[in-house]
Amino acid sequence: MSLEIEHLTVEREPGFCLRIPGWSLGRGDIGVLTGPAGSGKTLFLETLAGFHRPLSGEIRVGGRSVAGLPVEQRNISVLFEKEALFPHMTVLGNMSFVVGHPRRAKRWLSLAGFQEFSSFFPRQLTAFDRRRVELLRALARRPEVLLIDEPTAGMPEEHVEEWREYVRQWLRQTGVTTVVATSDMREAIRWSDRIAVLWKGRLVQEGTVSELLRRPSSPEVAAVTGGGFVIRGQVVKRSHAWILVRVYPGEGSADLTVWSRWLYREWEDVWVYIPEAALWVWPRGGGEAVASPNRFAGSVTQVRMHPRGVAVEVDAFPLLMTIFVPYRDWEGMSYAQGDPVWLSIDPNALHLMPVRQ
Amino acid sequence: MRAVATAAATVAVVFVMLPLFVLGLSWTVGTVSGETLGIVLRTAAAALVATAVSMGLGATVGYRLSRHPMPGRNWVRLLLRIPDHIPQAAVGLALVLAYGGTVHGGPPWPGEGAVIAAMVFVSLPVAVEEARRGFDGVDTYVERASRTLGAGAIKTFWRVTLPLAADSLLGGVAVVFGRSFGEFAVLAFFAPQPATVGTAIYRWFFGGMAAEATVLAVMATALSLLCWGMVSGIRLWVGRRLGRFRV
Repeated sequence: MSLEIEHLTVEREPGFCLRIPGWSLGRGDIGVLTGPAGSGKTLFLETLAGFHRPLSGEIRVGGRSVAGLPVEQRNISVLFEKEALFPHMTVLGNMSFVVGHPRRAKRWLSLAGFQEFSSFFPRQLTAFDRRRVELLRALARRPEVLLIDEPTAGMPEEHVEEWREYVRQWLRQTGVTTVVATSDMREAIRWSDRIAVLWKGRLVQEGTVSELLRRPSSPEVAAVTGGGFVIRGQVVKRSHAWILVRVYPGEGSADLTVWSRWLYREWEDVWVYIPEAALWVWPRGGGEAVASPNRFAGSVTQVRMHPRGVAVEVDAFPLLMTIFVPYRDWEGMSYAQGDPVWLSIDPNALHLMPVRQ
Repeated sequence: MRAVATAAATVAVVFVMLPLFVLGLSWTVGTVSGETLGIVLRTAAAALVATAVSMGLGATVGYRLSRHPMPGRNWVRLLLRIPDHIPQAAVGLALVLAYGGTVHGGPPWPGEGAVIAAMVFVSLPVAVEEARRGFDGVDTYVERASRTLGAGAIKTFWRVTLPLAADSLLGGVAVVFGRSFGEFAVLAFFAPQPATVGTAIYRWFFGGMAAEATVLAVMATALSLLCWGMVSGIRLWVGRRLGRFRV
């Protein structure tokens, strides 16, 4: 294990407390921290780097405890959200600051193909090149752990993908353990399969992308991962293979069948997570019967274009849902406003979460 | 609006340049004595020492004020600026009452020491303010990056913070030196004895040595302008390195 955190507690301002019971990354792993703005991601990174003293807990880098060490002795490099090249030094000067001798700095620069930049000042480079030099400077220190805060903040759109690939390539080659913090779940997915979700300073769930998307542990996680609905409900009836849940979306109630053998008691309060992928619309003719579980008669209230597909808003009272139909499937459907449709919810994809009082 | 501004600028330039022009004219008739030269050089040396002390103290206090949010920080700033905003003669009198024992006896300090102390007293507020402004302008991300790259607090200060604040600090040096060198009111009260430029011009002019006073004034003016020009040149060079002025 290259980075281990145990029972870390940090209090920065009164009323906000960061608590990480345990988190560890192996050598060369990339771990992603995600969570809404103000959930403590940056505080966590700054604590790892050594800018805040934790109240209690242990941080180990490569087996060595660093919790009491000053910043410069921790062997942790940081790429901050803002660019932090030294503006009064050339690129060569920036590298020499870390590696000591200009000759070694030149070798690093030639390794990355930056020889022609070496006499330039940071302001003479583009944002993408500045960021690349910064990454090189951070790695030239030969850190055990690299922390990246909001990796694509301020990066021009056309360079974002190239930048991600560039960082990943260097991380693969150097084998540095990396922690990436980002508030954007889609960005998080692109960095790693290991994602930890922070909510108000708590580590609420850790797992792979598909675990987080399909089986969030709490409504907060579902809110962070996005794309889906969370509704409060109550278990009405259960059998060996399915659970009948009565949900209360706003006004009225609807019964949903969940194919699950999870142990929920009857009349227990639950959160029902309906992922986007569980929703579908079917055209509805006249006089059809409800053929399968979780089918609700409704009508299309709005059709919008969206980058993720055609957003069809269906009102199947009391459920009001938006379904994203991929553009390639839209050809055969083409619903218009007011069309009668079936709203169908896949009983297999539904996920129940306990309500904590 | 533009016409008014132009007129005001013209008036101001004439107002500033005319006396200097007259001084330059009268210099052509005067002669430079050894005593005059001595006074100018001694004052310059004292002002240099005072500038060093002032900027050292000012940078320390300014850094503290800029970096560490402590309760009452704004009060400290306000208190340090008081000497700037009250009559200089009152400041001189206060200095005599506080450090000089009696008003008529003068300070019991060695002559140059009193001169330097008075100079530091009048220039310290400016030094603190300029240093604080300079350190405020340095991005804390850059300092933090330096720490994470393995540089300790001292190396970070010397290699990153100080060069980035250099422009403002040099501006402070120029103002502080100018003030110390040309100080009159406070020196007249607190350290009248080793004659400095300000006190000597005053005393000679009213002591019937108007010609000598003029020569002294011309020399002091020339030296002040020279120093100012030098520091401005250094600032320009530093600023160009920081990319503040595009070539």
